[in-house]
Amino acid sequence: MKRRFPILLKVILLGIGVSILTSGTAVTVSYFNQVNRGEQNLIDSIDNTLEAANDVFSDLDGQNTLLYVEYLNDIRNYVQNIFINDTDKKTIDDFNTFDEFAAYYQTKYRWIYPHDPRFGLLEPGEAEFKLAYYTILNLLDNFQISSGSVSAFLSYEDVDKTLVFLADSRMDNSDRKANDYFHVPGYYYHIKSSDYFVDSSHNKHMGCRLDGYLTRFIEIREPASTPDEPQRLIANLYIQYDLSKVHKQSLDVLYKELLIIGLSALALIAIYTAFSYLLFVKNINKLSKSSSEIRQRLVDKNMNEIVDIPIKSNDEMSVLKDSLIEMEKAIINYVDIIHKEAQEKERNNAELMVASKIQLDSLPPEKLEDKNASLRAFIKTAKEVGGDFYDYFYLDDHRLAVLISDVSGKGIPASLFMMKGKELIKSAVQSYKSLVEAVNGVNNMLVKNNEELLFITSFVAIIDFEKGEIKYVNAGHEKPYIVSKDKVIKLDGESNIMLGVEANYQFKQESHKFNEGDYLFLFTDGLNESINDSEEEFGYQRIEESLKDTGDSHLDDVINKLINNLDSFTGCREQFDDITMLAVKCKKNELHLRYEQKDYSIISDATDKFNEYFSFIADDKKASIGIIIDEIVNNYVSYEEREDLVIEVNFKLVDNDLEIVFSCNGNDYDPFKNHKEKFLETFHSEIELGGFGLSIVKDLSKSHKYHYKDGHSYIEIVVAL
Amino acid sequence: MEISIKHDGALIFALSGRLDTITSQQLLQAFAKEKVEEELLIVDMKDLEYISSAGLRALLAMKKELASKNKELEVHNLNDICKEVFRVTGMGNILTVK
Repeated sequence: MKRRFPILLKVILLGIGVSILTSGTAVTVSYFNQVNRGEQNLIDSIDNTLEAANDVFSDLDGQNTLLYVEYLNDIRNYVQNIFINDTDKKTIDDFNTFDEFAAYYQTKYRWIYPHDPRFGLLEPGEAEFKLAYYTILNLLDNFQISSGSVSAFLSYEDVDKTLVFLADSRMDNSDRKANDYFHVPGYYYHIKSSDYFVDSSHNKHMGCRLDGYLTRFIEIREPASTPDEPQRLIANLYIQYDLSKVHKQSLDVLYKELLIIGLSALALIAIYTAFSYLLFVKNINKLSKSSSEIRQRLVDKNMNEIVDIPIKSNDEMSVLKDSLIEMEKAIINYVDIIHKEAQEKERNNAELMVASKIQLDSLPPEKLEDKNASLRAFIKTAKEVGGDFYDYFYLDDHRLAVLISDVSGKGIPASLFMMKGKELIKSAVQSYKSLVEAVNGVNNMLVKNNEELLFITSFVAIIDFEKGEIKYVNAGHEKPYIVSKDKVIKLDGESNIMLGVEANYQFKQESHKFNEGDYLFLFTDGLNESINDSEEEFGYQRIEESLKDTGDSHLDDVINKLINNLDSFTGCREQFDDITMLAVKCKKNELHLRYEQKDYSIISDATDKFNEYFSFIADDKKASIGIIIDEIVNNYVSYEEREDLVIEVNFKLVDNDLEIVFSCNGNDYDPFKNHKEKFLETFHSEIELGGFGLSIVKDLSKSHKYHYKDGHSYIEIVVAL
Repeated sequence: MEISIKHDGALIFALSGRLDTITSQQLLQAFAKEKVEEELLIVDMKDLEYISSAGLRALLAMKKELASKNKELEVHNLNDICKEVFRVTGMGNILTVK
């Protein structure tokens, strides 16, 4: 089953998605605003600082503010100390000038942080520099306190190697010692305050953002002698900010905003979900509950009242509710109709079953055994009531009428027409003088009132067992076969038209020899027209193949052979037409049995075969003959010594007697001479019990004879019937 | 042949079908399996079609076996052909027929 994904969950997920999207956008926008605002604040502060610095520099006294700072020795010592362990150690004495020395180490070490006290060594006039320095430093301090991490320095760019000012305040406030962080790109510092000023007219607050730092700078230029002369750039004053602080602050704000937005989003989702539940889910649940109730009622067949659906809203849900109720009504109505139809159909089926039973019951038994004939019929209808039928009946003690027919169409109409046809044929054949007159009469009667234009194909035959002849009229039916011991003959005389088609049609009668042992095989087209999955027909050839060499076969075996061959031919293919077969054999008055085995089972086989073949013989006579068979065959099997014993039994009707001849290829032994007449009053051993059977045989038979000829012993027994 | 065995005061073997060479062996086997606790064994031949000499031999063997245990054998409800066989062979004198 597919996993359920409730609407309410979907609504919640949708709400969460929308909230994330909108609050994400809002927070992002807010974050960038925050950052921009923070940066703008910083820029403003920097600008203020720079303005203040500008003021300081401007206030310095013009004439004597040249600051000259020389720290040659200090720096020399310092550099020597630092590189005392340098493998490639060079002292200042290795260089011609200090410039060379400094340049060497500058290439090697970008920044040198000299230790201490430069200000103590300052010469007169340096006080102003100090003042300027501290002023800037102070400003930066203040600024740093207000804005967090800041880095500021003045860089020196002049060819005179005149350092303007340099400061760094990247350390925390508490630890910061400005002295420690002088950047020393040169070996002396030189500020010419009066000559250099912060050019407020060129006060371009240029900035750039690099690696998380915001850097602003102003240019410091020489005063111009004439207004047109370009002011020489002395230095840039850089102020560099670490933006991470700003970003961190912005993030703090962001988290707060996120929290607020998140909480509001949750509240919104809750409200949204509640509304969704009230608007849809609740009603949908009601609908689904109602529909399952409807289903349950359908299952329980409790359809007396309409299921109430408690939905009161006036939106699409009530439309859905109305249509569900309509659907329920329609289903109830439909179920009612179906129920009635089913009842009707059931009744029809029951009637069809009864009709089918009546129809099959109207057919004579599928088996006939009498002194003249052995007959087997087989019918398998494709629908409940079919159009095939067969019939047989004696006209007198030696003439048997046999017929097989197929009515056009199927179902009840064909069945009714068949009943009519069957009765007409039977009464006509019984009452008319000749077969052909009977068929002509039936045809004319069927033609009348035949509005439905139904017709019957029919093969009607009268077998005369005395004459050994068969007379037949074939009214458009499949041509049957006469099977004798060595051949299969198709009765392909005149075919005529079907019965019930043309009034006053003159049918033609044919005749054929029908000898003892021959059998007539009739069938309907359901047999030869049965098809397999390759749409092939079973056909006449397969029928003939099946009948070949069955002249001596039992009719049960013949019919079974046909059925088996047909089944294996058609496979699983459904039968589409009635299949009917009828075989009738002209019996000999004689039954011959031969056994090439030495086995007591011969007794029961011979007895069964005799009973079937001569089924018309009275039961007490059958019992006598059964005893005779048992006694004689028992003697053969018990006392004959040879293993390749061949026992033959021949039964033959002669007038009112049955002649039985037992023979075997055993010893010349007349059992009638050696048997005991009666049991003794007492007996002592099993051996004494032998030999009494023959007295029974003698008693039950009219006469008995024994003779031996050509290596065979014969026992001839006559039983009066 | 069918043999149905009942205990109703006496042990009753009700036979149906034919009692001949083959089926008399069945009867003897059924008899051998049975522990006869009753004093009397009745062979009911009401539904028997016929009996041949092999069947008679089986009945005699059963009688002999029972006699050794001081028990009786009776044959009941013979049809005409069975009566005839009993008459011809003199079995009526040896077996108790009712």
